[in-house]
Amino acid sequence: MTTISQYFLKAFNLKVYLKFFFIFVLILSNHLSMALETSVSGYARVVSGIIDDSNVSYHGYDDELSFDQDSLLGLQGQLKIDEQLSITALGVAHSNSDRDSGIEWLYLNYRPISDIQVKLGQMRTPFYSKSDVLNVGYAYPWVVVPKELYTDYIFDEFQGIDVRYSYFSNHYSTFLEIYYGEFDDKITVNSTQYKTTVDNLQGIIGEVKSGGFNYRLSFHKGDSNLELQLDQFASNIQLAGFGQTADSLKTNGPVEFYQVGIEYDSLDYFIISEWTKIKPRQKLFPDITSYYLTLGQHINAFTYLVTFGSRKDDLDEMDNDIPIGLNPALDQLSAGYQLLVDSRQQDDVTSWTLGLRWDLRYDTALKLELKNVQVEGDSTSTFKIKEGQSFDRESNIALFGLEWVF
Amino acid sequence: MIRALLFSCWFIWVLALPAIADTKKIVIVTNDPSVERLSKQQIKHIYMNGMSHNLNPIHLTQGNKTRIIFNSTIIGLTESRINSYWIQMKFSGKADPPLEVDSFEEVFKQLHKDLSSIAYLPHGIDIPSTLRVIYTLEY
Repeated sequence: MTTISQYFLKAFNLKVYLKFFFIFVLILSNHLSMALETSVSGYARVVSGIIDDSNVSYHGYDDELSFDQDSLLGLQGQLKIDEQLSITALGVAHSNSDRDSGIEWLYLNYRPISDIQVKLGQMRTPFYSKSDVLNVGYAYPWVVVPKELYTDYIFDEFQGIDVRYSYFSNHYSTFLEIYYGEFDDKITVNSTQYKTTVDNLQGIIGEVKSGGFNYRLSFHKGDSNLELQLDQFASNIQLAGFGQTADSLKTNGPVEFYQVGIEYDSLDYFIISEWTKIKPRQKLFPDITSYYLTLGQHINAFTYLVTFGSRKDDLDEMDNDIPIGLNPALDQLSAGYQLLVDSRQQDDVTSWTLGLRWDLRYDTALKLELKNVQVEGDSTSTFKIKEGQSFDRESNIALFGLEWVF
Repeated sequence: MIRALLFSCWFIWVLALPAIADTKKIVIVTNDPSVERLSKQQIKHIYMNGMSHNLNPIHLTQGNKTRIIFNSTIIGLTESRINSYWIQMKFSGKADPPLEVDSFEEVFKQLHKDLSSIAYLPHGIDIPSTLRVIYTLEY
């Protein structure tokens, strides 16, 4: 976004910087008897699920009832230094061994005036309407957020700076948020982990609230690099003189992300809908277009909801310029390239979900969800097909959740 | 005779109307002399956005009848939805929920302690003369 902020991010490892700052403030508070306020809040969720097909798993759920995919415990501490300055830390313990437990957020929160908020450190990447509360199941009606849109390819946290401006009028509340930072960690798709870096990560989010309506529009982009160990193979193709074909195997490049969200909430019913498009420049990865629509009704302590979700991937053509039949080495290279091109995953998924939420108390909710998922085509990253097994492209999933906030 | 009886019943009912109507009002009060009358939307903003308008809202604790009426008429959402909203705001670090107190006595104490705070009260309650009514809701 700016060279100053780029310099700033490179000059400091923000996570380390904030940890030291946090300790420094604690020492100061002890020695100078500063009037610091601390608060701790948290959430816990127990989620179990089972699928009616023994040949596949769906986001970790298979035909045996499991509790270890989305169950977790989160503790958030806030140290309030004064009316303008505070530090927030969030620690999460995941039951899922594919996800790292530990400190997920650690940021400095500065509010120079009531309408402007600046966050500096490691925090949630604000891609989606529900990004902030992805782990806090109590805050949304589903057991698991619609996976057609909340895809595993999108990372949850980033390190950087986030500025949010609020404006209130008699009829509207408006928010404008911009952020800049980087991501350097791994993403997990169907239990496979990929080391990923994203530099120059930046985004702008606009939100308008009026009456029961909430509109959200956002745009994000960054220079991503997914480590797929293809460099050596691409280098061999390059050396053989097929530069354009080698370039098509690049796993680094800019990615753009567009998002639109609309919500309506009344005493009796609600609507939640989101649409996203992920556009990577790399030919290896598909453009992903997703949306969902949820309609729900509140009746006393119960909420009934139905959700339709869709994801459609669009892969670029990859031209194989390596000729075959000239010599065995080129034939091998060409066959290897074609194998790689054909192994690219392209999802075409639709789902229907019926859900029930029961608010037992002001801090506890029980949820039940029945989901039917259908995929088109032979290639999918939505389901993980067990070795040597076939899949009839349709499956039902039952999910149960107990949500607690404290 | 029957007509006279019916008329008497109607007359008593008409006389009683204001008293019945009085019980179906909520007033919003403050100690801050600089605050003019607020609109319903402004009050909703103050209660749902925490930091706006530089006024600090006071809530009664969950289960209080006046709070339930306030939430359904001014905020326009169920208790669980409002709770979900504040969970979202709190865990995203965007805003903190309003201060909650147990009783009307506590409300008065807090209004006295923090001049820039506002609170809702049922219409029939004795309101100290220092407090100003800045909005009246009939439901």
